[in-house]
Amino acid sequence: MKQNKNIFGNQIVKPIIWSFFLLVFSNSLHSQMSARLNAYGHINFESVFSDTTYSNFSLGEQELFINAKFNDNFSFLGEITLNYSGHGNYRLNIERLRLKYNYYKNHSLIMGKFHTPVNYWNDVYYHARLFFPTIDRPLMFSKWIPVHTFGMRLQGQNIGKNNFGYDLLIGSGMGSEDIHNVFKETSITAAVHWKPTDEMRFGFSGYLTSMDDASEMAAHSHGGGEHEMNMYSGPLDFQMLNASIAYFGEKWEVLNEFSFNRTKTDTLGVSNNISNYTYVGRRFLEKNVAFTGFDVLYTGENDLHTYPYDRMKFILGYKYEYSERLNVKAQIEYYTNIYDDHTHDHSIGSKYEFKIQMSYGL
Amino acid sequence: MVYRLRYTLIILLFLVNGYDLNSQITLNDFSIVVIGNNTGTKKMSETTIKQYFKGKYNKWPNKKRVIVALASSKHPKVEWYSNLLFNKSFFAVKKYWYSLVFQGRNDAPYFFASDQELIEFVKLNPGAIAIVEKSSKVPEHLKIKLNE
Repeated sequence: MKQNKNIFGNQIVKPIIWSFFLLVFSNSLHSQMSARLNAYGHINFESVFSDTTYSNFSLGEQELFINAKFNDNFSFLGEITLNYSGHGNYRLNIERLRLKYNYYKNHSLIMGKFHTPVNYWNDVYYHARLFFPTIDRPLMFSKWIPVHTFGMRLQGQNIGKNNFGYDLLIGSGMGSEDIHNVFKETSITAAVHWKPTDEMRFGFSGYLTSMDDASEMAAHSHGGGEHEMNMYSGPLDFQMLNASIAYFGEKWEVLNEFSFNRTKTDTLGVSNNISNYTYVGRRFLEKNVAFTGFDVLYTGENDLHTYPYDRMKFILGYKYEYSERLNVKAQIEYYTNIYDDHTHDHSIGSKYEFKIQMSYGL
Repeated sequence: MVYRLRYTLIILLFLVNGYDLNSQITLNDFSIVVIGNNTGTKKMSETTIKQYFKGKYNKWPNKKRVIVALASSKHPKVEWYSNLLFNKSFFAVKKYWYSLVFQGRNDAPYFFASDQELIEFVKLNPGAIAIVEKSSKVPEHLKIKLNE
């Protein structure tokens, strides 16, 4: 297995970054800048019924979103969240911070930190729960979806009459932090999508990276209900394929996220892992949505990235939208293991959860 | 193959949803005029103009940035205009745009309470487009003709 994962060098990266910033600010001197500031947040209530029962009423992520235009071609986007980290403390995170250069029609070059466009959810919803169809992200987000990437991205959208889109990006790997060791590992993402109608989008993506220390999982530490730490700190190769189908019409809403990944270590060899999330909603009286969902995730017995794990989650819920900036969701969830025959020693039992979430945007 | 798949899916949706995708109201059927300032075009198909309103293009053929101006909740014809352009209610239009802006894909549209305000805004901003009633006093140079 290759040990040197760094394909970027300071001789290459620094001149590109400085050229980009010079291009942005030299252009912005000649035009008027416009900026827009929004805030998003949510408040949660949850009750968990398993061996022990407890309830929590908590502040969720609170965030600031800024979108600014330097001129017709250059724009800036920033998304910063504030999360409760215990004992009255809050943690500040930069979730997105990017400069975009729209160089030709609907084709752009983007630099900075952004959500990895591996599936519909991660490319459309980001951190504002206001836009989530269900209260939590799919289970795959807590295990292997690389939520963020820091790097460079070529993006195209709404191309041709069939509205094709593409993303090609190269950047930090899963273990990289936002500030330190940004280019310690490298990831490559290639994604395409197609919007045959305004309400529908199909997407397909591939992602690959190699990591020196698989225990560092900064890029996908976003819980979809359950999250565990990785104890394996050795090298690991990771390849992933995703497919998304989204339809958000006047009456029906459907979202399916499929993810398959293959991990390889010198210790235990190759492991194939799979997950699928399905959401179906029925809108009535314009602002009400009754929905159901099914989420399943399975990792192989020899996987050292997320460790052996099998889980199913059933969701039944209701959403009421007071306005486009305020909604309330309530849902009942049932978690259980796929294998409940004591042949798998990683069973963590069954449980029910009841959740209410109020999310808003200002 | 791609076209066959596309139409199969549309037919499937029609059967499931009971939603007629071809029943969209056309701008030509009504007393509406599309206005634009320095867009580099004086004639455009209805399909294309609607795509500009939906934020599918960032720039006009003359490379000017597209600025979308829409009726606000205070505009007396807001629901009618929303239905004409987006085939959606105003509530759904706001949600659509709110999400697009948050995704970083488009600039936010501007909202106005009357046709007169829409015309004034378009007049002052190169690249801006809007729809207003034909009965409003619209300068000839702002009008964009529909060619279908």
